[in-house]
Amino acid sequence: MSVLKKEKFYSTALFFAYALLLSSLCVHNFCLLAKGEPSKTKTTVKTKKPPAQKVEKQKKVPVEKVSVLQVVNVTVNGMVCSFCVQGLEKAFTKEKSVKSVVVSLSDKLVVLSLKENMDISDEKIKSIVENTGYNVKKIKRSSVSVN
Amino acid sequence: MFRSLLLGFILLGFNIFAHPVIWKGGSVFTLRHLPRMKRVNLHHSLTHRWALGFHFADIQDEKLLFFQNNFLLKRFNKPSSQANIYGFIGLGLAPRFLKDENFHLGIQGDWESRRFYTQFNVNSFFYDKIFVSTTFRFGVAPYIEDYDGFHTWIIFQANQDSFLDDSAMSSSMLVFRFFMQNYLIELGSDFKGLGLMTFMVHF
Repeated sequence: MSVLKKEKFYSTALFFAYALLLSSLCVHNFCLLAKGEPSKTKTTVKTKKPPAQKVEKQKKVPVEKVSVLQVVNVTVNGMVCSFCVQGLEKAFTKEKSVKSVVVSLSDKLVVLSLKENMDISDEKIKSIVENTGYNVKKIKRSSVSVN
Repeated sequence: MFRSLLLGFILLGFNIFAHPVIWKGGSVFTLRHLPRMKRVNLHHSLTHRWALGFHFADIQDEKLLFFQNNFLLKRFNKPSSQANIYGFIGLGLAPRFLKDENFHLGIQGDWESRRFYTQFNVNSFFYDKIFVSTTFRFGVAPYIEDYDGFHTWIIFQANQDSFLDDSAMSSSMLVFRFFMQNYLIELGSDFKGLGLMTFMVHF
């Protein structure tokens, strides 16, 4: 490739980079405006679909019955880059006892919703977090009643 | 199919470069095109401290292939930041069409928060010449997004590439980094029109 062609090629690449940057800023601002608030609390939820049979069973349960779901809030140190934090979400999603995983970089939190009558130990949580290269700062458990 | 794609990328002049080590069981594929060097990396993290893989480097038409070992030597996890020190050792493979008796040594240090990012790395390639590439980066995120957002970084990069028996070439460039989910793209250029391109995917 001649020098002129190379320069043209890289100038074009730089132009696209600028265009991508500007468009990403516009999209970001548009999202903020649409929400009417900063997107600091934006999170991702990955939920495992329950088996079809289970859903049918749940439909037959009377409305009065209350089930208790356990929620585990794991505060993690070092969680700054979403590109690198994906390992945490992938590892927890594989766990049998975990129904859904919510990651919040702004709160430094990984929120695990557990399946009914299932639990995950603190040791297991620490082991998963450490195997993805992070450290657990705090684990807080709470229960949520669901009709 | 994959081999054809890999060869295609190399022939197109792209280059693979990656996050040196990621989570246990995770893999990274990176192409990186730099002014004097093209690199391709494919590696798999056996633990969060050690990754094995392949590293192809094209240094001014010298084609080198390495069996790559990447190590996370030290990580500092803080509530709002993270710092890492990595080491790289690449042992030269010797397919018929490539040079044998080559190896790669490198070290990288980085620190990042959600707003700022710095990185320093030195990569040395030993074959019938010795090529040393030193890079410093400083980046700022113009806006802060959460986990599932579209992230943008504006990065200043200073480079020095040198052969031990040749004059060194220094350059500084502006790089734009974009990533979302498990895909990352970087585009940059210096004032002489020499460019940088990176494509990276985690899986």
